[in-house]
Amino acid sequence: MSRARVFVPLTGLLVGAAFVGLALGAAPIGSAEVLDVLLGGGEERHRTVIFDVRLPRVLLALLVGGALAVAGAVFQALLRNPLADPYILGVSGGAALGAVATMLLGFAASHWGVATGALAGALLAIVLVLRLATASGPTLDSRVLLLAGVVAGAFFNAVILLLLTAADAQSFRSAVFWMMGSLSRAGPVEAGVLALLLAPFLVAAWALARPLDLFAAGEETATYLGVPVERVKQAGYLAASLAVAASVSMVGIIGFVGLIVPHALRMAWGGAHRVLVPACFLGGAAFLVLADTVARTATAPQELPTGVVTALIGVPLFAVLLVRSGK
Amino acid sequence: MTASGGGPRDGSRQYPTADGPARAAGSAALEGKSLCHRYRGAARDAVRDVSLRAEPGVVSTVLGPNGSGKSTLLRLLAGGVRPRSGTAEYGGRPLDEWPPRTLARRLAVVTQHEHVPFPVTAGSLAAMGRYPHLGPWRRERAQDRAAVAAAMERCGVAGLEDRDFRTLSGGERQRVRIARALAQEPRVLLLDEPTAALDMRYEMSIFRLLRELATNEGTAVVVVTHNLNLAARFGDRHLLLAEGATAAEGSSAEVITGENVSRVYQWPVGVVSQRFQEGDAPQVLPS
Repeated sequence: MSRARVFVPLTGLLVGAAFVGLALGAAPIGSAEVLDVLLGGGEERHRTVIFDVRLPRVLLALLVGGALAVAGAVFQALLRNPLADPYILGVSGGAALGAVATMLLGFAASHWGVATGALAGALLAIVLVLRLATASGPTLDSRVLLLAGVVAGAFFNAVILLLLTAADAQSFRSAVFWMMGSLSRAGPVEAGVLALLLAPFLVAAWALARPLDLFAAGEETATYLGVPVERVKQAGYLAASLAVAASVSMVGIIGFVGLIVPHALRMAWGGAHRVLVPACFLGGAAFLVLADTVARTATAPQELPTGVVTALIGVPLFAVLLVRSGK
Repeated sequence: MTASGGGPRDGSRQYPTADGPARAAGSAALEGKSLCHRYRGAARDAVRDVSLRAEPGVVSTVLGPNGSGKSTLLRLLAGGVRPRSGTAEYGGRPLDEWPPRTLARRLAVVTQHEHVPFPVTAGSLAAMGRYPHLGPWRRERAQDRAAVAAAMERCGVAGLEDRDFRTLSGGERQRVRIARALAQEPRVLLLDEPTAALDMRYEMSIFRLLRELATNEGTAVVVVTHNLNLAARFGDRHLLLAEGATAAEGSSAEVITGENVSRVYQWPVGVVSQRFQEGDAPQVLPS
């Protein structure tokens, strides 16, 4: 398979999505003017809108979408389950609990405070789930890990609901909106911080590409083919979970990108991870940039939660994929 | 599989074992010594004090009824399961002391089942056998592609490279998996019931291939099988297991006797000698 056949259309799609994201908004800017601005010209007010508002948001959507899709691909490979998504190990539940607790403690107005709380919750969930999964034996059993993740996620959700019963109307609203995911707090600093946080995990996922391929044959066969299965699992789960933790703490829970994008790309171009991992980054990035553009323009000036838009677009798409793959 | 089979042979059952070309490989033997293993929660040992030496150029078979410990023994010999006592060594060195990739260049395993959850082409699946040979950047070189093509050709699955592995027939799938093991270019090949659920032609061609690998290339072959007749015909040495322990071991004439087989499989059988192009071999006829 030629890599150009994969990367050229996906890069084109991402560039197109980013361009649309920069052009559309409360006040649409013509494409010629967007180009002018990007090349250093354009009107001053357009420069402000594009560089201070839209570009950071497009970059944040690009990073989060790419990271979630890559994490989804890694989870699917390690769990040998094409229906695994980045939140399957309870990372999102932990992050949501952290975020909601921070809001109820009175820090709802502090964007960075909530993000820090969410990150702490996500990290706590990762540690808890990994310890649960290794408690029953010396090795990391993916089936046990999956169960531990699902159970932990359910528990976090229960605690969140319990906390919300005690919340006032304002905190309740903030919490629910956070859990639907939104990129409305995007700024250059947010995008920059997330890029730095994600870079090592994305590189790690790409470096694991070859061994991840061999998981398709099963862990036992992968072992006989020379893959250090335990080390790959530990590195893979940790890298993907941390990437999800960083993304979720910044923008809340955005679903379906991490499930649909890897699934669709696998069906289109097969499962070789040295192609699939970068392809997922490009595809996930493009998908979320487009979805977020819809979220902020469809009912402008009112914004839709981005996580709701990804689900609204993603679920029908996924249903089509499922029906097709059954044939 | 190449159709020529093992080539014409005289009637004797002499395969190059002790002094064939394979001997040049030195101590490239896989040896299990007094292996014991018990699964968690099991009442008895799955494998109890079993020894087996797989030598270059020799086809060794592991026989026995269901649940007699054949697959566990193969896992112990492959390094997939650690023995509770005893050792499994390759080249005189315990398996768990070998770096995984180095070992995988010498030892290849075809497991009993393989469920592939994603679309994977047969070519990519066979190419997985090159993983232990790839350099630090894990890029396939011309020699890797050549090895995969040769292995697929040899197993009669050349031309299926671009097919989704999951859409192949049982016989094709099994031969692609054997091609993957051959792409590893191993000195020792372990197979767990490679012909279960295959029709006669595929079963014959796989046993022929194993015989050729041992005879022509000096590969040490260990095959777990329920087909006593093909084992007797194509194998040099046999290990008959009963409830995890060695019930009999030795040549076809020593192991595949009416007495041994009736006792271990708990079914009366008759055994007759039959002449094949490979030589004379005892054949089992269940009563």
